[in-house]
Amino acid sequence: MRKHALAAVAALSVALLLCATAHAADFQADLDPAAHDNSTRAQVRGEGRVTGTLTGNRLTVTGRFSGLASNAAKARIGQAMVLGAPATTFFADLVITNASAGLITGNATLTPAQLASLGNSPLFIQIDAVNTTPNGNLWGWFIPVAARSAR
Amino acid sequence: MSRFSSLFKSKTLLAGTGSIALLVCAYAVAQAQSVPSGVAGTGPFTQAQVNAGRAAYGRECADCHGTNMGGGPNGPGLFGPGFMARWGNQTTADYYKFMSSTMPYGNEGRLSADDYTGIASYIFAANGARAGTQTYTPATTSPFAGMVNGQPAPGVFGAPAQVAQAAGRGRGAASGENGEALPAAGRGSLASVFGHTVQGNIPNYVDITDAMLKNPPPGDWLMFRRNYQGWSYSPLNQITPSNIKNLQLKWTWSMNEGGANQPTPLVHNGVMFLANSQNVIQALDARTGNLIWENRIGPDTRAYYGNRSLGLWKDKVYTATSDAHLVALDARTGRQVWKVQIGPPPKGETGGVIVINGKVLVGLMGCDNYSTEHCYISAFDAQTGERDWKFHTTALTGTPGGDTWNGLEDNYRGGVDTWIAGTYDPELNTTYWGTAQAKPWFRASRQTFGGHALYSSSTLALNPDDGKLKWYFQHIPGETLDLDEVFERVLINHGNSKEVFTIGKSGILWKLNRETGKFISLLPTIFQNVYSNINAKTGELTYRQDILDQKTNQWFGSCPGPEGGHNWQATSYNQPTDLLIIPLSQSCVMITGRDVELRLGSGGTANSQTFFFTPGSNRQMGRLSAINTTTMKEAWSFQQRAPFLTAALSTRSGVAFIGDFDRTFQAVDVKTGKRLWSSRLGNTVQGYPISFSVGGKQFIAVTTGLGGGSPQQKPTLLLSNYVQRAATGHQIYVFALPD
Repeated sequence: MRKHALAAVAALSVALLLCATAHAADFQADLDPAAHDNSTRAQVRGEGRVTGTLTGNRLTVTGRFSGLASNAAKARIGQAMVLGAPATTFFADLVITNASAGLITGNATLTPAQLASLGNSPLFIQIDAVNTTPNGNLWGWFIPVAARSAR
Repeated sequence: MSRFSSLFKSKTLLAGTGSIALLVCAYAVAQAQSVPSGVAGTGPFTQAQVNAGRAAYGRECADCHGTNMGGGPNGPGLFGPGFMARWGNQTTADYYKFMSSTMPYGNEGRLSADDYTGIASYIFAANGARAGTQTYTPATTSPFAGMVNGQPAPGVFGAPAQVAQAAGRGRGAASGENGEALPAAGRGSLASVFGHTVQGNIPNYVDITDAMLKNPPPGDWLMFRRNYQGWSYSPLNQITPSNIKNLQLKWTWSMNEGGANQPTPLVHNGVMFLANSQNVIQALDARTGNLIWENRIGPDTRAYYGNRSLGLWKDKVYTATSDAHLVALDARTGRQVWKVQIGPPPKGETGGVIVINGKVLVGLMGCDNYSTEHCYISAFDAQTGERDWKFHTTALTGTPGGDTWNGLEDNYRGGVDTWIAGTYDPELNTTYWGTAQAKPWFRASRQTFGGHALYSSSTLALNPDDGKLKWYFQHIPGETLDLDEVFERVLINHGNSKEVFTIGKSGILWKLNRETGKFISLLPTIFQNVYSNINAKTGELTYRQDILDQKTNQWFGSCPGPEGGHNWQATSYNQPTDLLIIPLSQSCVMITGRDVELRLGSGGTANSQTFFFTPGSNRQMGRLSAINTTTMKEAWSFQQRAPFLTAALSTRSGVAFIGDFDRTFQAVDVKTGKRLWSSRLGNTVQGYPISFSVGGKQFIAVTTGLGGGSPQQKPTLLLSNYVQRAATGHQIYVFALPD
């Protein structure tokens, strides 16, 4: 009985420690295929998800992707004009596994103007693959987690 | 030149990034500018290939790319500067590879090598290349440089008769009573069978009166949306939320394949009148599915053109055909009584008819390309077929609203088609119609800029007696993204308030006063990003600034895209709950408008598109929402991966029916949206489901089908990893409770 109680206390302690050190993500972006048509659909495919945590003006990004038709070449962040109108210029490169599936990590420093306009102009992530550069292979919009829950 | 190369040409880049993209862009621009033009030469193809290609093009390509390659509802033009920019530096082998791997859209690689080389030869000729002695094969590698100049040679599109023949019209061996060709061998080879192919008789047929149209018998479905008010609501109540789990298939009937299948079966006194694709009309025993008569009016064209509804009045069945004819058949026998032309080639019609006080009212489409003929709504005498009046939906010079087209000559005022038959208020003696957008789609392409382009994207209130305009309300002045407001108008009263509701591609539900046209309120139902402001008090929409500042060949992200937040899949007004049940779709597009030359035959939709899922939608393209029409608040909503390809149907007993792209036909509780029953059918559930009764038994009928425009094409592309469909499957299914 005492043994079980000790185990429970230990488990609870670990859980509390994890909660204390982990910072809940502020944003989440589902990575869907970039805009494609019949002639490009065989190349433009895959999926993934990244989260973004904002600390001050620093956005920390982590996530995964899979199912690309060719190896990933580049991951970058820009500020979309509005949700659903993708960015055309980018301000931060991320680290991405150069394979058809893997990880995305990195940081971006936001300007005060970027921070101020996040509500109307969401951050946008684009994954390019070898065969889909420069039009993109996967797109995702960083939507506030709270807003996603409300959708 | 890639989409982003074009984007980088915009002011975003000119403002100053010195990135690698600039080098890419500069290279792409330089490449485009180096495209040869001016002089055309002899190509590696023969005149015989051009001739064969013209016929194959009419059969396989014209629906999307336009009769004369000028571009159509869902495909770009295939000659001129656009072709030169895309292909001028490539070879005939590149073109074959591209075409055979990407076309026909949604059914790639289906054609024979001869068809592909023929169509390509025809396209080369349309871009100025002369036929020679060499036969074009998939392996033929000749540079376009020096061969094409983007200028069609005189006569390349053929005389009108040739074009009609190329489109498959008039084939067959003998002439039938319709004046069309009859088959050489009975009903065996259906693709070329025309005429009164099955002669039957309905001995106890009862004429349909005006009074019946105003107050339909509960067991009948006599018109498009069942009643003049456009409700898609049945007063039958045998099938309920509690017993629907027992619903079972009673009979099914294979319909004509080819074309687009999206009809409304009509039922009168136990007889079902069914419009098949390619203008084939049948009468069936609605209880058993036995065929009574069939008239294959023809022609067998147009993958894009379906027939959304027949009309019934007295002893006649009316249909508007894909080649813009209005035909009256004897309801008892199927014999053709009269046939008149609604509009000249290449006009067509899909949107059904409405019969009001002895007149058949019908719209017109196919007004994409610049022409001396514009689109209009017509009324014809139901007895004789004589045209009574026309209302031009394009405001022409010197008429009211004619000064809203930025001074364009009348011949360059395209579009404003009417895709869906109107509704009617007998008390106000007013019929309500929606109109499509102006063509080309983009303001910059059509050069109307800030002009409102009346009467595009409007609700029109007309006097059915004389076609005079009582009022109009333009929902989106100068619409520019193919988000038009052409679909159903639903008439609902709240106390003394007489209202008309409509919802267009933007997904905004509108409520207007139908006596005056005055705006009452609106409700956005789906995510949109094209309007920076929606004024809920005035109904005024403000486009995003970059859309207002548009230039041709500039790409825009648009949610929704041309699939529309709402499309022809009509709403159902469930009167007992005051809920409007609305099929919605969620998808986005990158879209650009191209340069368009102002000359007859040019125009078209003049756009290019690529597609993507709506952000944050979890790739759920379908959405069904119920809106209280008094409060304009959402009662319930759910979404699913497959978009809905049928109209909604609801009943007095509180059941709503809806079918989807992924073959599921389902029933939900009108009050909650909770799924009550579903059945997986043979193919995409597409059309307008109905309910009727025979011998005291309630039935539900729905069709499956392929073909159609954006509502078929966008999910075909976006859901290719999720949804598999058969290549055929035009069918009607009829359900009922066990005997």
